[in-house]
Amino acid sequence: MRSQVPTDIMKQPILIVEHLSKSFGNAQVLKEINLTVNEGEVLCIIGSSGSGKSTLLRCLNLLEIPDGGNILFNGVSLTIEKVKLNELRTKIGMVFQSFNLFNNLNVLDNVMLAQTTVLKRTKEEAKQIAIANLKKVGMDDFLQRSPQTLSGGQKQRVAIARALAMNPKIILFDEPTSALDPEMVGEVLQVMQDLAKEGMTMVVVTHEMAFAKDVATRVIFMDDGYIVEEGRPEEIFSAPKEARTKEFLKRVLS
Amino acid sequence: MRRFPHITYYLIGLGVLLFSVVALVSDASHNISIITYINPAFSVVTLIVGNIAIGLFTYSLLKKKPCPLLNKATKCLKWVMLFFLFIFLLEYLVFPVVRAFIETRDLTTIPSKSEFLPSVAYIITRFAEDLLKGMLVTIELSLVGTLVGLILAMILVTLRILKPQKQDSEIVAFLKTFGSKLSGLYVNIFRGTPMMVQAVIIYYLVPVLISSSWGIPQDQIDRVFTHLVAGFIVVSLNTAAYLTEVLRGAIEAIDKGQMEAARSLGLSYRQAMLKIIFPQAIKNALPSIGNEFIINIKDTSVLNVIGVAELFFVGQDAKMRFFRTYEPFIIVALIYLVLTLTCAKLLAMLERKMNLEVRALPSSN
Repeated sequence: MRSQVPTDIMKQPILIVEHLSKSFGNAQVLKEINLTVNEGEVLCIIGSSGSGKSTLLRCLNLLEIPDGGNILFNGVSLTIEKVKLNELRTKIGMVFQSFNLFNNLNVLDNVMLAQTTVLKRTKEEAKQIAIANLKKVGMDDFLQRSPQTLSGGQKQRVAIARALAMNPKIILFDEPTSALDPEMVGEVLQVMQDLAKEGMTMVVVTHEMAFAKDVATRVIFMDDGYIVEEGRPEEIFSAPKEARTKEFLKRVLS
Repeated sequence: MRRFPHITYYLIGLGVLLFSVVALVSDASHNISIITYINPAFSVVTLIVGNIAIGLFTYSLLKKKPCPLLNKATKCLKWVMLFFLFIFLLEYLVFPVVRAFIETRDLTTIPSKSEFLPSVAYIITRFAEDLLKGMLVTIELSLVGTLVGLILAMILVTLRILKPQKQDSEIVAFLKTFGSKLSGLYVNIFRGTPMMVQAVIIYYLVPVLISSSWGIPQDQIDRVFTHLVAGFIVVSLNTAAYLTEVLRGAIEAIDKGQMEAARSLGLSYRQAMLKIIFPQAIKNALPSIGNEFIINIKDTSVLNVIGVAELFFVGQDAKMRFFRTYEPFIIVALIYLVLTLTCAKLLAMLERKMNLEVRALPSSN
């Protein structure tokens, strides 16, 4: 496995994954995953369905408990028992494929809830931060709307604002555009691209090859629970080394 | 009027206030009277407060300076006003007609057994007060029973859905399993035995247990632990068992993503449950909770075995008093029917209102 990180974005590692493994029943979905995410990096994980990319992402904030291996976030191991998980999770944002906005709260309260309950911000402060972040994603005109009345793209942008409001060090995107109508994919990708430009560290599981090509600083190709190939987008997309990568890219790009 | 419906309510409120002042002065000493059951002073105070609030609200609307707190208060008061209006309409329009009808017939002695309708009319007029009391007890029992049952069910369901996690220590995992099993056992016992049997056991067993364990004399316990108190306890415990399962279903029906999103933002399991899952589950379970209430209206009739003076008990009482077998129960059946149908209608209105709030889509954005 190539563990060399391209030198031009070589910075402090923010997330280190060592020998991670995970199985559901008899099926082992992650096998010996080693991964380093540096600050300011946009890491795209590609691969066919069932290759373990979503599971890997969900292990990174312990939504799935890994069976073995170690995850270090800012030098703190997440897998030891006495870690303050809820505190750490506020620093690891997550955006889901199915948005998962809280259905019982309106847009503003969706973005405010975790700020007031977990970070103990005052209501005014939380509201200010919420509105600022909603403005960033272009949803500040919809403060009082309930999630059910929004389109998919709007929901996903609110979900991104909700993650941003916690001032995370890193945001995990789990196929953020897969549940969207084609015409709404653009608005969400635009927001993500803006975030990348601002230097937010992002790990993105995606099927949007164009996004991976243009925005990612590094691309990982996963297959059958292994990281098969890893490198800069131009390397992966124009000159893949592994046979399985070639086959996958041929299928999705044609 | 159409732009400011509050003015209508204000006028209704004023009219009703006038009626209630009359009632207060005349002391409402009629043959059949609902007003005797409502403290006239209470209704006058309520109505004055209501009128002032609605008046202020209308004024604020006219001045175009809406006040959200007043708005909410007015919405509640509107129903209070309509309730009083309903009572006064009954009192001064319907009852006089009924009284006039009764007075045309000689109802000093009970009609013969072959005269069905006169017999029924006779029993109603002679027994109106008891029937009304029985009806109120039935409503109280089912309302309080459902509410207390719901609170108990919330506690039970929190225990029920506990599942030991991988990272839990052995003792925590054991306690979680134990709590879940215990709650399951409770549900099975109370759903698997008839409420009538539960009532008898609780009514006779609890005083014995208390007196033997704390040494309090039996007659002292009986003064507190009356038929009615036992009834409340039985209905609450029974309802709790059914609602636990209803709530469990509602919680399990909530998309797993809601919990995951909450946890990914750093909320603890408890916070996520309280702020995200429970509010949604209870809202989804509202129709079933309403159903449970309607079922309770009917099922509280079994409490007559422990001597709770609810509607069916009153019916039996009438049967003994007038030596008539089926007439009293036809009256009782009709009252039950009116109660359940009214409640079903009210619940349907409530549900429609709640759904509307969610679906309301102002296109102003």
